[in-house]
Amino acid sequence: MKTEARGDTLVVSGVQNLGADQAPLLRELVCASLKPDHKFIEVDLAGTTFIDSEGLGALVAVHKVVAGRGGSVRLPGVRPAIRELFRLTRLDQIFEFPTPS
Amino acid sequence: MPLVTSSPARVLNLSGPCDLGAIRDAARAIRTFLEQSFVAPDEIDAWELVAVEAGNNAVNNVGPNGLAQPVDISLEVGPTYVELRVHDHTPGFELPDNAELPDPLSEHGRGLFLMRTLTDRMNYLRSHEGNTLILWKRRAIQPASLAVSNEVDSLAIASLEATLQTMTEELAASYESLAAIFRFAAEFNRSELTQSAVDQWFRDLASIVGAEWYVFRTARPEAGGLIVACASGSGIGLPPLPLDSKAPHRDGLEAQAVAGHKDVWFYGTQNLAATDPLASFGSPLAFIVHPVYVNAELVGVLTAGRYSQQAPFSAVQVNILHTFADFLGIALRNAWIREQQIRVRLVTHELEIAANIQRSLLPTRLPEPHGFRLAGHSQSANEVGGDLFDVMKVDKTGVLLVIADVMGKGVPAALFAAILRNQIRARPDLASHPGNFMAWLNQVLFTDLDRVDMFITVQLVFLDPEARELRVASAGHCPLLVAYPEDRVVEIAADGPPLGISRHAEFPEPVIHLAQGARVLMLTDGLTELRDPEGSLLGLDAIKTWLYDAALRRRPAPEAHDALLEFARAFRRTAQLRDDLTFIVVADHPEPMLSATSTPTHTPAHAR
Repeated sequence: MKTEARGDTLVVSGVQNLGADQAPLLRELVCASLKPDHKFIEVDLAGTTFIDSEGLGALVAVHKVVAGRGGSVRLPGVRPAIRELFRLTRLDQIFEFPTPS
Repeated sequence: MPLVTSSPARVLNLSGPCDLGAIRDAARAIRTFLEQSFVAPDEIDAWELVAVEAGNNAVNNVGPNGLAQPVDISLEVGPTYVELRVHDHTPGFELPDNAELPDPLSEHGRGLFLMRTLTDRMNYLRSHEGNTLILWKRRAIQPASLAVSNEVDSLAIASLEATLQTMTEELAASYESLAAIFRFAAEFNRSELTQSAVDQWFRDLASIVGAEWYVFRTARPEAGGLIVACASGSGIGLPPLPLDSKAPHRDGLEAQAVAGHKDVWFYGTQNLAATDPLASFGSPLAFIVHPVYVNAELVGVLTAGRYSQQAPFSAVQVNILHTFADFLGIALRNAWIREQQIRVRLVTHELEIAANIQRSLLPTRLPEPHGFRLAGHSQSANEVGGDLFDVMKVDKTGVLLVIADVMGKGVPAALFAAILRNQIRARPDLASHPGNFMAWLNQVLFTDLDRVDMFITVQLVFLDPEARELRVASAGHCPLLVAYPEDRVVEIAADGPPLGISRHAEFPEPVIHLAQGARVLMLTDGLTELRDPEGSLLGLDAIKTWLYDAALRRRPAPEAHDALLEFARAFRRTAQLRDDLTFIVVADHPEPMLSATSTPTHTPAHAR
């Protein structure tokens, strides 16, 4: 898991699984990398095959950080099975799911 | 998490340390196992997530003592279902009936919701040995996965064969279960629920599910709680389990299952609590306790188990146990209701007989002493009562009038009323001296009355028509009322104690002269204590006023009898009769040259 700053967006990539064992890492990584001018966070889930409720909780925590700045969390590349999990938990209402350009 | 046993025969047992990484590893092993079992891909995704959520719960909520304990996970893949069990050592939690989604901005609380949503059934069994979360879901039908193609390797063929074998076994078990239920039903319709039938049912059940021991208790509050109705081995002698949750000796998993309205599982390496009645089966033990409720009412509790440390029964076997136990519960409840109906019918019938006997003890025709006429009435508040009246001819002209009230109502009171009547009838020689007669009656009855803490109030009145005199003796009874048309109403109060109070009591015998036109009323407190619908008492004064009026009007005895009944009825209106009501009216009767025949009047006891 790594981060990269792109303008007003902090990009997180290399998330293979976002289970309870990895969720704290995502929170810490974002906290450590987020700059004041970052309004958006993009978590690339293209390679992510598994997310559990703790992983969802970590994404919600990240969302709350940027929502206070008028920003949002984008989750590009989400696989259909994972996308179904967001729908089931109605978290698809707070995250953006951009399609690859 | 190391793989302990893995078999294409559809059961995967995993045991590993209590940490999140090990849970993730176990979930991957489960995914692989499900793939090998040809479970649909979307169901595999769901089960992987469910396994992680269940495992995380076991890790995240464990106390300091549980950290060193392993987390055990077992997965059973049937042809039509998948069942996951996660055994934890947490303090446990109350599984809510519904799992709601938390607020979208909440960072926690979605695990339970996901497990509920992604499975069909979820149970959480708590025991001393730890807790077991059981998640069950029916598999989607996938004809494609059953089609053997050239790509299916030998492992897949073995797996399919194992699946078919299991399906056959389950079908056979279902057939046996159904056949046994039909046998039960046939047996039940053919005869009553006998002990030997129940014993046979449980032997069948044990054989079908492979139980090595069992105990079935039925709820019998009158017998001290849940008593053993049927058991194997050492279960036969188990003491009753109190139904009252505050009662002592409610230790044990049977009590826990009953209190929680849920199955309780037990298996593991530790012994049962020594105070648990099931500990009498020895160890090791693995069992399920199933409380049986019919219409939310506890009818019994079934425990079935094996001598093992492993989980005792498969999902299919548990279903069979539930079906049998619930079926038996309904059968027992129906048998109990039938028994109660028969008992009520029997008691009602016996009471009707008793009421008939009591009515037959009332005089059918009253004597007609010269110059007087008599009328009497007795009415019971219940089917049978403790009031009595009798009139007995003494010598050539005299008459003994008897009125009595046995303490209480119902059958015991009626029995003593009958005994008293017979004692009085047996000694007409004593009747002309009621004081002495009363002392003798007290002597005769004292022991029996004293033994059962009962007493009788009695009034004996000897009427000497020639002398126009009454000789009165009273054992704690209501006063005798005598009304004179030109004068007033006199109360002859009780002077002696009720029968059964003092062994050597004495009873005075005042003599009352009856002037022309006198009216005499003997009564029980059922008359003075009549209540109207508002609850007001009729009282002695109202009776005295009525009697004085009867004397003024020179009412003959039968007319006075009817008038007094009407007076009482008008006062009582719709209020229920609370006590037996009895009275005797004596009225003088100027004799014509030729004596007229009058019919004694009394109302049968059953008249209301």
